[in-house]
Amino acid sequence: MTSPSENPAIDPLLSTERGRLPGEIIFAFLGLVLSLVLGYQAWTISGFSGLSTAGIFPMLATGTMVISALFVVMGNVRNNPEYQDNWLTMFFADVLAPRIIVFAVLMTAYLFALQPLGFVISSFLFLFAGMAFLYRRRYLMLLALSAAAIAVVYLLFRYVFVVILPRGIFL
Amino acid sequence: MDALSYFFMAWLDPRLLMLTAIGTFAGIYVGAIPGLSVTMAASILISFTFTWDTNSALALIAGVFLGGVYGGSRTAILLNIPGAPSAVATALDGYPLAQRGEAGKAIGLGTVMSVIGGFVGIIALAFAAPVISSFALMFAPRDYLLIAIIGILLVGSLASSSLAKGIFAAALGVVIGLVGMDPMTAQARFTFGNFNLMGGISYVAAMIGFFGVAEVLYQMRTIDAASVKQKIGRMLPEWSLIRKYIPLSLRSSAIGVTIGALPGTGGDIASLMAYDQAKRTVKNPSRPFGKGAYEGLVAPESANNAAVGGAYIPMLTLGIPGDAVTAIIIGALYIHGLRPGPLLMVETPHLFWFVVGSLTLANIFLLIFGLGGIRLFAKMVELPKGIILPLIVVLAVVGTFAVQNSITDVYWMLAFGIVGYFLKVYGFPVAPIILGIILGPLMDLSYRRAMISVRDDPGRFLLEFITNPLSLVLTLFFLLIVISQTPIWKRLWQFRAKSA
Amino acid sequence: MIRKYVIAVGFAATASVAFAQDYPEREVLGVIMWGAGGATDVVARAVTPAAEEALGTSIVMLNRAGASGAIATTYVATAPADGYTLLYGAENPQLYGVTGLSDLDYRDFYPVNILGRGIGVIVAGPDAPWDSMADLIEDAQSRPGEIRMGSTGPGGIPFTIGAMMNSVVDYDVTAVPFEGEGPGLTALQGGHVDFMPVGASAAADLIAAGTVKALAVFDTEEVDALPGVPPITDDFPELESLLPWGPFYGVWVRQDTPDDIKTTLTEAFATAAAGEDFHRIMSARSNIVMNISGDEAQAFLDQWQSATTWALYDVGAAENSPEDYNIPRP
Repeated sequence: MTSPSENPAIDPLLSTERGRLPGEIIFAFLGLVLSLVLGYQAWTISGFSGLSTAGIFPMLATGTMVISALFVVMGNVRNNPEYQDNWLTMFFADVLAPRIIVFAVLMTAYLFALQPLGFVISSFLFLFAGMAFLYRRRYLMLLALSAAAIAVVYLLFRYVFVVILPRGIFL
Repeated sequence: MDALSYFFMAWLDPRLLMLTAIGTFAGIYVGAIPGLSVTMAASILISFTFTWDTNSALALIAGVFLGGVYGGSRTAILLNIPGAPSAVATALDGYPLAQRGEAGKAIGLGTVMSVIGGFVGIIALAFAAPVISSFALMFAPRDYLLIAIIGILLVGSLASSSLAKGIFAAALGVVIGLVGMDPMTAQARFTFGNFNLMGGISYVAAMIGFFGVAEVLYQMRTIDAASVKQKIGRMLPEWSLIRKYIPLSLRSSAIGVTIGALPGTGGDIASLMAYDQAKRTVKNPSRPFGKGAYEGLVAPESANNAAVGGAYIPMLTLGIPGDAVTAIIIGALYIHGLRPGPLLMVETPHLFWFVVGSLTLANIFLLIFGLGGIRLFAKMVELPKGIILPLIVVLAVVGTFAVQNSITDVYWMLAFGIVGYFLKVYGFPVAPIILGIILGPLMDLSYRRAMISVRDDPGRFLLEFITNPLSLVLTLFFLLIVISQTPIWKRLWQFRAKSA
Repeated sequence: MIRKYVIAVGFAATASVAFAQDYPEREVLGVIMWGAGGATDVVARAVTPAAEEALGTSIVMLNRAGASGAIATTYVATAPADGYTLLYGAENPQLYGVTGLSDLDYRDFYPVNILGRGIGVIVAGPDAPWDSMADLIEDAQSRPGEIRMGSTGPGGIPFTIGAMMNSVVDYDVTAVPFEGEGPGLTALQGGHVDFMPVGASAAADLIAAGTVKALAVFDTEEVDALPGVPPITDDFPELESLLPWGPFYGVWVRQDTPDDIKTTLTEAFATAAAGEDFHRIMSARSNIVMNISGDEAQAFLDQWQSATTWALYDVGAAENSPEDYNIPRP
């Protein structure tokens, strides 16, 4: 790996410091697809009907997204992969390790539990589950810590900042 | 003489002294919590003060305002979650510093620079308010457009590994910033027919998601690594270090005052532009920018606090809010029976000096409270990741929800967090997204306003950039930055350096 | 599944009965449809302390600006009809139908109190060559499109006043939209637009200080807050049928809120709006206190909606016909 600053011949638009990561092409390609979809949306706002329409900047921004996404995709395709194995295995080993998936699922579950369970219960469950999953020891301490943290956050927001947090059945 | 007695009023009355102190202290800690903005803190506190006298209210607000703008940098440095948009630029070099074990030093230096910036803002307010406010009125829509474009050039500095990725991120940010009902024509943009999107996507949700939650997921990759041991020797920055950065701090503060005084731009844009300025003008930074350069911390911290004094300028001289917080203060002044407007200085001249005096006092408290408790904060970074990461998530959820009691915002925050994680892994910088969100709407509205004003005549539109003196200066400034960035210029520079 | 639903409904019904009896048993959420520091926000925050006292609970204020207030309106319309969510609003929802923004309007809400109304005034830069509205219109006719008018987008005060003017006299100016009256007036003082119709509350002090020049009050007679400014009917008597017209501010709850809760709220806000503090703040902002509720308020709302929507529709400034929304022609 060479740093691009030491090698001025590398096109700054395509420079990358490292080899290609597993899933990188697909991600860049998804970015391109998103840009195209948003670009179409931008065009539907007001088309090319004038110089001061609501659609001008959306088209400019999404156009920039499309072009820069193309450069990113090209840069990725040209780049050599940094991994030898099957890319999917490497993807789940490196980019999206099981721990990250589990934590992301925990967070998602937490958000969807916010309204039915209310802030206090869902946050407590998430905090304890999250800490237990990541820290994996001294569970009693974690339980106490979760309860204390929620109490502080709840009282602070509820009574000092007067934010009405989502209420569940009990709290 | 009279002016002097009003200036010191807040210093000598124990009740006002207390209120300023409480305001500053509360501001620092409210500002440090992502999602709880200075605007929100000010509007909550102001409603307590409706039954008080005006001076008490103003003293409290002065403290909250200065403290809150400063507090946003705490979490930016320690957790890479800017507590407020004006601290986004602080995170760029502040967080790398904390990761090197210099969290304490970073906070200390940031505090001193905030106080210097604060004083520059106050001095400008006290002695140049009428001049600056009439200067601010001269800014036409096309000048705002130029400022936004100069700001967006910062992408070049923020994109470390690949310019294409930086541009993509900034353009994505602009699109996120444009979502919702167009304020000029009421047309829906990027809403996909969903009514919840009509009001736009809260930029706090984007900020907390792309910075906070994305960082939490990113940290999962190295969860077993020990937390960074913080150097807890001397927390106060050495005088030699401070002295070295005073010129940079003053330059950045000047940017802060000017941008802060412009109605429609505030500390968020000021601090980003000051960061850009530092990156362009400092030849040999202590470390490369983005890797923990002190310069990258000094510039935005000076600028965002200088913008506070700047924001007061159009408010006190013209009755025009310089930003969201001063808009609330104007509303509060009405409730207190005053009439903020061009006559305020004529009818109630004492108010002006009282505000200047309480801001000065709050700035002194900022130095005291800011330098206290650093050790404790620095220790926070040493908590095991397994404990601190879930806590950050809960804080991110409450913070996002608190902005406008919206559960939809919280879902957005999570979505941005997950997308942000992939962006980070694949080498896309996330700061340009926030840059795009902040500057996108300003560019869009200013451009269209300028274009409508010349009835969609592109020739006249372009001509005005060179015929108007102010626009011409800004245009030349823009061209200078662009040319100095192009490879030919750089090569010429290198050639000259070699032959010299 | 069905049984679950029935139980849920039963639970909700008993819950709401319990609520109605000891309302208010917790704090009330007040959703403001415009941003902090704006005209609606100031009126809302001015009346609230006294209303809290009369109600015996605190009202938590939440600014939920966006989409001309349609976001806040929808938020309150979808919250439970238990009197714990209030809408602090301005005139905008009355135009949602014709501007195509939303199907909601104030007929979906109960007017707890219409607190007050504002007056429109047409202002120009201090060095403007015109001394009256007639001068301005004449100049605009002689050079179509050259004069720039500050606006706040469709449905705003400048837009509506401009449309009403257009219904009686033919002229052409370029409307430059801003995010609100404040930014528009700032641009006016900097000379980036030439004139702007605004609410008097935003402009009264600027007029007094001479940083802007008032051309006409959008009313049938001179008003106390703006001495010496001629009414628009001096130059354009044809406008009389549309006047008085102006923004208004008030408090609403969902239409299907239990009656006794409506009564409690109405009484509390009537007391608050009669208070001295509120009157002082309103007159400082050049607003006129109305303090009306129930049928009287409803009649006012209907009259305002019918006059405004049809005026907009007749000059082609409305997207949909008021007829589609069962709004009778005045």
